[in-house]
Amino acid sequence: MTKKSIETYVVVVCICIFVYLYICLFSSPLLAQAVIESQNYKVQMPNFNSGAGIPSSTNFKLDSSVGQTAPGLYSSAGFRIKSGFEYIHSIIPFSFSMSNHRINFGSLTLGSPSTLTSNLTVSAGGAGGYSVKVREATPLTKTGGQTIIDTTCDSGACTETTAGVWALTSTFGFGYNMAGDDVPVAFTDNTYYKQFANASGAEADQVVMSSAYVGRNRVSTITYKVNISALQPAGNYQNKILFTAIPSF
Amino acid sequence: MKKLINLKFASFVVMFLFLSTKYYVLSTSGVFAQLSTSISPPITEITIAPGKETTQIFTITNDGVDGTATISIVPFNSIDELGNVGLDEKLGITNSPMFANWFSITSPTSIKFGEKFTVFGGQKLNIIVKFSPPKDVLEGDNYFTFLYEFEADGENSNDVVSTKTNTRIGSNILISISKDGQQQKTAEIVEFSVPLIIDSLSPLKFNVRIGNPGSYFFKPLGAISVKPYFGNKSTLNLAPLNIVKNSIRNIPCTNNEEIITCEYDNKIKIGIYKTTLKFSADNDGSNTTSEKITFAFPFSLTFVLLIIIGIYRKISHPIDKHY
Repeated sequence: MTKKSIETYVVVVCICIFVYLYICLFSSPLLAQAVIESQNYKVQMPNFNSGAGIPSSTNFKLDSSVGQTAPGLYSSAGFRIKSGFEYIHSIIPFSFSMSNHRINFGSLTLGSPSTLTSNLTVSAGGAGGYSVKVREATPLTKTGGQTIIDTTCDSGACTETTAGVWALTSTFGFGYNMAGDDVPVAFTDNTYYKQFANASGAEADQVVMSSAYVGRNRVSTITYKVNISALQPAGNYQNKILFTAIPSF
Repeated sequence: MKKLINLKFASFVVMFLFLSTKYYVLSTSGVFAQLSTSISPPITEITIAPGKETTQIFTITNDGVDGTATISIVPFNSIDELGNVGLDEKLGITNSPMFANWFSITSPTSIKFGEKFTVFGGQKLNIIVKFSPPKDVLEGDNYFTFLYEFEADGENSNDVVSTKTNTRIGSNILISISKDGQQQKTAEIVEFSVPLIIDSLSPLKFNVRIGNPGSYFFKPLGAISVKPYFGNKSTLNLAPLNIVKNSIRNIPCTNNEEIITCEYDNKIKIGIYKTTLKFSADNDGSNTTSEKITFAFPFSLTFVLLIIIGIYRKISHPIDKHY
């Protein structure tokens, strides 16, 4: 076997391995997405949901009483039950996705702000409007109780309800900006930030996305920002943030 | 020399394949950091007699990474005129005994309210919840949100500075307690605003706010009809959105399952337009109506016409100069 044929053989083997890996990785759909599984449950009679939402009872056969208003049936069964929205004839799941659930800033440099982003996706196809709210369990906290404070922005006036410009590197703390579909108008541009509502301080969850209209794949981007001063004690700081997505009723 | 080039080429190919494969694998693992949850149905409406029981299936899915979930049911209040909910978490059934005996999970039996359970990526679960309001409960409405909270596996305690995010997704439950199923619905028009005078080219928009001073939620079933002095009547269907007790809701219109602004879209409007709002609360037999009159006049067209006439006259009859 000549050296040239060995090289050719190596190249061919490498291409085969690459093709094999390519096929294996692409043919199995590993992408995690907000799956809307089907155009399911097309119902002839609005309100009756034959997928999730079938009401049942150990005492009564319900097939004909579901969603109907006949008083005789009500007095027999003692209940009526409807699922889904009257003007939307398909019951599509309400879904919420987030592209990155672990926001790891790593080691911070004093006076040099770090930012990380995550995409939020809401599909309220089966509902009318929706809202997404957010809160933090605590500020970024290290063992021993020291915290990286929630930012008050450059003016010192921003809170969990009021946005403000945070552009100076001499402004410290932790906060977020929203951009994209259905975000609060207070986030005028990417320099505007708010604090997270602090649940340990009994602050109310704050809206980060909302719409009164049926929405499919509404996408926004949340930018987390942190900046520390030289006075910040060294250590590991963590916290947890909860996003709550609820359709309108 | 040629062998050396071949060797370099082979090395290049191997390096390229290695890097591109590595990049793909790494980028795929990044995608795995996604949280993705869904719930169905988005809303459940139950009318039930005290002491009776019924069940509902909630389908929850996890289309993201593996993790743990908890199920809870929390009362809510209407917080605005758009149908958004304000959760009263202090009265959640895992926090308060007030509603604890109203709900129970009948399947899977391993899942309890407020207790963590594992949900793998791609998993779908049917949670069957039994509703059984006690016999002595007062008639009227009670509103709740079924909450599915998800937390991805893995802790961030070793990270230097990091935030771990959890998601919570809800499905609303409207429960009307009624002994006979014949709830008395009370609707009132809080606002039905229509402009009195409009330009012929501007849109004719309607604002409808309906109040519910009663004890039971209802949907306004009806329409806005617009009758021009000359021409045919047009109808805009009101969106049958729930108006919960002691609340006001801004009611838009609906067209082909889409919520739209209530707007008469004829391009040119001239003359008198009579607009009628007519609806009933869940087809209860009694209609609530309101009528408004709008005058449409071609202000902008007249203005343009006057300018054109003025320019024409200036061109055709230039001003005489007197010396």
